[in-house]
Amino acid sequence: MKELRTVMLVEDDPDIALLAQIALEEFGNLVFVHFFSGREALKAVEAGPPDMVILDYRMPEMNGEEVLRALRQTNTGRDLPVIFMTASLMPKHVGRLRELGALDVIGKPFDPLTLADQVKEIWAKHHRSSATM
Amino acid sequence: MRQGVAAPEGRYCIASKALISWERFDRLAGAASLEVASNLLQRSLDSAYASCQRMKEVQGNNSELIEEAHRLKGSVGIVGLQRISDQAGLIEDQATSNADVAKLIDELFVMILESAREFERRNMSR
Repeated sequence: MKELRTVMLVEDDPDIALLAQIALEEFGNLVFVHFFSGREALKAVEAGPPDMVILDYRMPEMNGEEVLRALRQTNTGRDLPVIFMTASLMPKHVGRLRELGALDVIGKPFDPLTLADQVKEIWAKHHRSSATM
Repeated sequence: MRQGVAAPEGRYCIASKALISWERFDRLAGAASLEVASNLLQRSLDSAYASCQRMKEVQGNNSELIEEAHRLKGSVGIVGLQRISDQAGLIEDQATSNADVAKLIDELFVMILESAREFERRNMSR
């Protein structure tokens, strides 16, 4: 299984981005890349995709769903593993995000001490299921 | 027949929760450092205060109010400001149902001040 190394967060809230950075870099030893908007993130993915993208759902201009759709239209982002991060954890909403192709959905507020483990577990699960297909 | 107006769902749960989850704070301080954890908590308190002010300003504009409450709900709980996070969620739900949230915003304001005081007390006792 390929090791998870680089995680890109697309999140418009600087406080949440800072906490996620500490959680993923300090506690998870991951390389963290952050963009405030989907538009910036899409450009960056085209230039060089990360291993995984974490998308905030509610963002101005492009919401997470729109970013994911746009990502799937690009060569570099077509098969990129994506996780959503949202404070709306109603089953209908979560189900919809999974239908759109998200690997999983992480609830906000997240625990900064376990976020990296959660992300790594989703990554491992994705690889296990890809290997059996 | 039931008399009176029922409290919005979840309010009793919110009141029974700690203002600040010191367990989460201490774990964060242990994993990073006390300075980092303290800075993050202070930053979250400042951000919650600013957010509450914005909510007061945008009352009457439900979509902006819901947006602000949703953002606050998702952010402050990360460092352990649980009650503020839950209250923001309640404001979001009530505003989505077009209910008057002025009282809930006032309560949120008090919660933020109380949380800040609790944080100060803990800092002074160290």
